[in-house]
Amino acid sequence: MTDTRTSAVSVSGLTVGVGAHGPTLVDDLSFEIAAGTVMGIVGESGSGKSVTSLAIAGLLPPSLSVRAGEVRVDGRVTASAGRRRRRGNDRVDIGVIFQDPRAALNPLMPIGAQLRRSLRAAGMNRARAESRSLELLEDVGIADPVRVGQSYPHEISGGMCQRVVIAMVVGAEPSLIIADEPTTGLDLTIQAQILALLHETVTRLGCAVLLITHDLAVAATMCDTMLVLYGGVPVEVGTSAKILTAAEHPYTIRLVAAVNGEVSRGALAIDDGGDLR
Amino acid sequence: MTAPLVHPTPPKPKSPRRARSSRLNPLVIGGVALLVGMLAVGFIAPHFLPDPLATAAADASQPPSAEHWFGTDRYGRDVLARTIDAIQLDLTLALACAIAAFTVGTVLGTLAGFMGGVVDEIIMRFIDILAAFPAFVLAILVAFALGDGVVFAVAGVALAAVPEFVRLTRARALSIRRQDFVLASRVLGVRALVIAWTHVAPNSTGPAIVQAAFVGGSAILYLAGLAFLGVGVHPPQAEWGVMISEGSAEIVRGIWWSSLFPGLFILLAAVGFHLISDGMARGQHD
Amino acid sequence: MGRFMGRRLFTAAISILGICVVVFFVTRVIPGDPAVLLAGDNQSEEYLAAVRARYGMDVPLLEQFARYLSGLFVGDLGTSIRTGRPVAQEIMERIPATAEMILASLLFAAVIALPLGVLAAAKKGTWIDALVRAASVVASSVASFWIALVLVFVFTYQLRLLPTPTGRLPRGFDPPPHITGMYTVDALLTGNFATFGAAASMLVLPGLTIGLLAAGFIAKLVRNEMVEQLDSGFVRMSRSLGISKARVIVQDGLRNAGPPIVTALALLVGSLIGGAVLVETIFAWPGLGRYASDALANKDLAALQGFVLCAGAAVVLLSLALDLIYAWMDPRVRLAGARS
Repeated sequence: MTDTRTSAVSVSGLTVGVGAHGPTLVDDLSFEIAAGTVMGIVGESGSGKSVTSLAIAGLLPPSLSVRAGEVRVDGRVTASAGRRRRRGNDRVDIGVIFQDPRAALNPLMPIGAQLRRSLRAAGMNRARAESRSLELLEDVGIADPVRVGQSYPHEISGGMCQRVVIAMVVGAEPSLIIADEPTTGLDLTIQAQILALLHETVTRLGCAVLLITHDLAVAATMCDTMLVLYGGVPVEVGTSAKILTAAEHPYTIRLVAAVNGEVSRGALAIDDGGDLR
Repeated sequence: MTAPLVHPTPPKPKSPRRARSSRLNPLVIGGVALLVGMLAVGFIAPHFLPDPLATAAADASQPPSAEHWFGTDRYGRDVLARTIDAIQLDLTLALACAIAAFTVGTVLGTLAGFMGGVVDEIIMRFIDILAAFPAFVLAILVAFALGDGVVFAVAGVALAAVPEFVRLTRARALSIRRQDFVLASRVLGVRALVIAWTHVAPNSTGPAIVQAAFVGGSAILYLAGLAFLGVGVHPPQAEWGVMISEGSAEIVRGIWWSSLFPGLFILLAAVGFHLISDGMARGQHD
Repeated sequence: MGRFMGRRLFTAAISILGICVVVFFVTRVIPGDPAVLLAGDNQSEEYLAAVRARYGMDVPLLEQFARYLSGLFVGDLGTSIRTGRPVAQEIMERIPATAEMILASLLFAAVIALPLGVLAAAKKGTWIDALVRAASVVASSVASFWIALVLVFVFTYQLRLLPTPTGRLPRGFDPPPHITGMYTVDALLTGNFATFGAAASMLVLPGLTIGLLAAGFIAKLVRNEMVEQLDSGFVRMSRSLGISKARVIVQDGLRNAGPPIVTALALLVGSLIGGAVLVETIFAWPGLGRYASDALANKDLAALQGFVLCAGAAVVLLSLALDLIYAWMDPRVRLAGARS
């Protein structure tokens, strides 16, 4: 039984690198996410944000390894060994939404079959899985769940694929949802819809969400708290409001400024001694 | 003024098992060592061995002994000597097949991919038909039609191997042709043929070499098979397929050595080629 | 799907036509005199003229070709000079024997090599993977006629476990009633269990011999295709949703690797037919392979030509069938109606 905790997810000292002695990709990352809130990890390509999400989800490729640190979801250690552990019989600790929704779906299996399969892996019987899968498809805003359920991934749009992925993840009722660039590559209008859907899901499920993105604007709309990552090192963390209006670290300031379009002379002339870390 | 933003790009994750994936990985080295070793033995050992063609009826069909390590065949010839004598022949012929198929195939493929249009159509239709035949069957037909002779056997096997080279090279040529640097060259007026050779050809050879090594391995088997059927190399020439053919009649009488050893060498030679092929393929994939 | 099928059928028909043309011209349009090829060197001019007349080579090439094609349309593949019988008939008689052997070998290879390939892919990078890969390299490097002799020697003459290779049935057994022409199948279908056992025992060694070839191919193919599938995003997704590893391997890995594996089988059967040519003589197996090697030895042009034609046509038709199965297996092809 879990009593109310202030943090659904707590990451401490996460360090990921190439093998045991190769370069370090993520260095001593620590943060917490409260249940029902969305945290965004913002950074450029190469900042280590995707590696972070893979490490937390326990999906690191064999070439990378978690050298130090601990991940706790609902108070239980999950990914400290870089491995996934399925909890109990009907819930999954962590669900992941990847960037390319089409790549996340099996092209030779109908949507409904894939959805039912993941539900049945959680222990649901056939009949229940059938009805629940239709429910889930409706919940993510798909108007004709029966028809979509019988379709194949290549027959539906990218946006709808992402909705299906969200449905699958939600169906597993995770305590933490990691969304790694979930809207990159989708049309702008669809992006907004998907983000709204995610937000609604968070509210309904009460889970925590870790949103990975390079787009500060996206993070601004969705996230309650933000962490800025640069070169594998956490540079600044705080509430969205604070990051956006009262950032302290020079890199963050520049990032925010770039988004806001402020390229005035004074704003960029900050002497940080040449070292951003 | 502050330092510009540096974009740290993550280093390419180097797997601890990277050594196995580079182009000169242990598989390739092993295969090359095996073949070179065999060739070396084929060069040196005959000096210490009896004449592979010398018959001695009195000594016929003797089991392996101190005097004849691999025994003697039904004509009294030393099996070891014949097996080793065959090394150079078999390996050279197999290499010839591979090189011939590689050359013809890559040229045709580059032509087809780069020229496009009618040339491409004609070449590909012909190649498709050639590829419709099972390789060994085609080799048999060609060798039979061209006449009795080693050269024709090699030609037959090489012809059967050409289609794959054409397809490989053509695919590469097609993709390279559309790339900007080729377009730029054309705009600058460089002749198409020159572009083909300087840009398309070198970039197409990677998988073609993998295929060439594989063809070498298949050629060993096909040539021996043809010889076994009486096509190409004939007795009394020492060739592994010929030896097995001669030895096959003796199996009934429990004489195994005249067939076993040549076959083992076929296996070794083919494995050598296949190791090179597999090794290089892995080096390119990972 | 209909359009796809139509196109494939058309391509297959063109291929078969092309095969006929190639077979004809390879044997006729060659350096040197085809009559000399058939009759041998140092024959008198009269003899050569007689050979030419016999083979219909005394008319212009194009007329020969026309005769050849028209003959093909009515199923006339010429006459064997060795037996004097129609080649087409002789081939038809022998197809079941070779088909039975190839099917047996595919069965053996599927049972052994398929699981090994899957295992190797699932355990990629471990010693199991290395072992399976090594085994498949060796299996593909073995000369079929050599391993046939080795197996016969070991199992028949040394261990006396299996009957001597005298063909499809041991002495004292009669073939079952003809339904498919394959003795094992027909014996089972007519309840003739004794005959089934006898026929099966004769099928073991040929099946194993060709099966080894097939196994090497299949293990490598399955492993490589599965590895590629297991690397995909949807496999990662399935695992992240908690679906068990075994289920992911089969439902996401094997099922998705199915289509490319299936299409590669046409190539495999082609090489098995080639292997049959080498191996049937050793086992006294009265199939197409032995027919071909006899034709080769006797310089029986019509027979060899007929064999090559049939082998080529068989591969084309098999390829067609497998492509259609591929389309059925892969909804992207099926529903799009055209092959990308």
